[in-house]
Amino acid sequence: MDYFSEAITAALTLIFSFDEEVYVVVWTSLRISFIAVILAAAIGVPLGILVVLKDFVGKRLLQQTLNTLMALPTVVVGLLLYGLLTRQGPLGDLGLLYTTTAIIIGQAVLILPIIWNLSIAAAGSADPRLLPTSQALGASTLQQGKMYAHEARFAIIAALVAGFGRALGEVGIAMMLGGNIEGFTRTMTTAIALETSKGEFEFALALGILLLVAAFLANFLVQRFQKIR
Amino acid sequence: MDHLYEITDLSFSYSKRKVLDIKKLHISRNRVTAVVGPNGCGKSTLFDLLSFLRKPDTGRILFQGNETMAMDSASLRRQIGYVQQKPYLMKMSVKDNIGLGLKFRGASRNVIDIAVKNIADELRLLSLLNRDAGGLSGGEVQKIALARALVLQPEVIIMDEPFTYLDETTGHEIEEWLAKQRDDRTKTIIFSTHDRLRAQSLSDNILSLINGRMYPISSGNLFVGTVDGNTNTFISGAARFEVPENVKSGRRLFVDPKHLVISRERLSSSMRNNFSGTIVSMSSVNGEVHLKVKSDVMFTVVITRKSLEELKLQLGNPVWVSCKSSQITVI
Repeated sequence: MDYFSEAITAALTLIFSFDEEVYVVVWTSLRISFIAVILAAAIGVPLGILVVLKDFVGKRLLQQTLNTLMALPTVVVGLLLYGLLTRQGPLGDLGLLYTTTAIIIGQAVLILPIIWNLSIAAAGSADPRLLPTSQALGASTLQQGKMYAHEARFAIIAALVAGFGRALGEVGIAMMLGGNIEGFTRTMTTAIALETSKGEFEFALALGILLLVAAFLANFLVQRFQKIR
Repeated sequence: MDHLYEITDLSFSYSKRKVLDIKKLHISRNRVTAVVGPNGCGKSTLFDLLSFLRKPDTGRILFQGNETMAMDSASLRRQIGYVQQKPYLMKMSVKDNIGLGLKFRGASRNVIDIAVKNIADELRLLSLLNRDAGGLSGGEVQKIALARALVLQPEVIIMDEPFTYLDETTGHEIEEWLAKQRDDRTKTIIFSTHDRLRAQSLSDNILSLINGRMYPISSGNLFVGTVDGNTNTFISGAARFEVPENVKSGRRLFVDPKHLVISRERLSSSMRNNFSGTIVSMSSVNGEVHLKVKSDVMFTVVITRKSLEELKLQLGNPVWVSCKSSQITVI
């Protein structure tokens, strides 16, 4: 018990003394996951709205597939992208393996189905009169999509935060594609996973606490947003 | 007459249920047309077709003389101002709602501001402009939706059941506005209602839609005047009607053309209202005969073909038109 309580004290000391090593890792994690969300949102949100706007063959199948992909195992994404990005792989010449870019791509792939699917749900929950009203006012398809994005903006932000949470908390992709290189690709989760076994328990615990705080803050922000409406 | 819409052999089904089946329908330009029918008769579907939100399964819709089936729906829609039943306002300010259609058309901020202010002034909405669209009354929403359509200066304004969710004041305002449009004859307006009296008093033409089919409606026998409560009479021009005793006020009197009795001689019955006149027109509609009788006012009388033959009625014949006071409605 002493070991654990002392470790917590040490972890809090690291946090409140603004230990550089800890915050470099935090910053790396936040930056990577944030960019991954932006990437996935740029693709997933428009696609989600498009699925609501248009009727097409295979719509149900697509949604079922997205539902399945929401539970995509991170190590599988890591494995597939490793195969693509490794020196011998088809994209090996880009030299992306063990860079933050590789983690960003991997996390974006991981959360694209989440953001896409939750955007469908967000746009789908808009008032059924929204589409005929926009059409009657002469909106083009792009303008109709913008109206959906506007009307469902809080649900869409919630979708982005859910994606961010998933990206920030995953470890398989960051480990396999990033390699936990100190000061470069070391993220909160890879540090926790790998530093603990190296005996750096306080360091890992400090990151664990900060990871929880980040998750809590994200959800708090979403709820604040929803209250405004 | 100049027609804005010319529709032939139109049909539309939801899954397998046919909701519209219209052989022929012409809608005049710069006139107010009312579509009357019970709930579920296909009015909203017809309006969705007229505003090009849906395409018919079969048939032709000519708009301004052009065949529309192959035309781009989006550009057709931009010529229509459609105020749907229970209109939806976007989650933005009233001002932005009214200006939305102009924004879709790429108008500049300045142009939108001026146009929105003008239309809001006309419809007495200025005080609401900066309000959020949430939390407005049904009447306010209806007026804002009307402003949102009017600001686009469309070829035609289509209003689906505009009176359904209105308080009395807003109802009167919309009625006055419609009556003014009808008198001005500068806008084409199509509106639906299940209230036939309202339709008759506000429109130039009435179309009756029942189970997706169009039926001609016998218009007429709606008279404007005043009630004299002392003598229980309704005075419209030179005509005096005896009305039910409980009627103390009202501006319009209505008698169903089928409740009027036509005869060669004045009837010595209990009917209190008897008018002498001359038959000025006769037409056959769906096996019934529609007569116009010119008296102190112009009556429309609907009789069966059999009665026509029995009475041997012909154009120019002097006749009597009678009805019981209990069959008179004053509103």
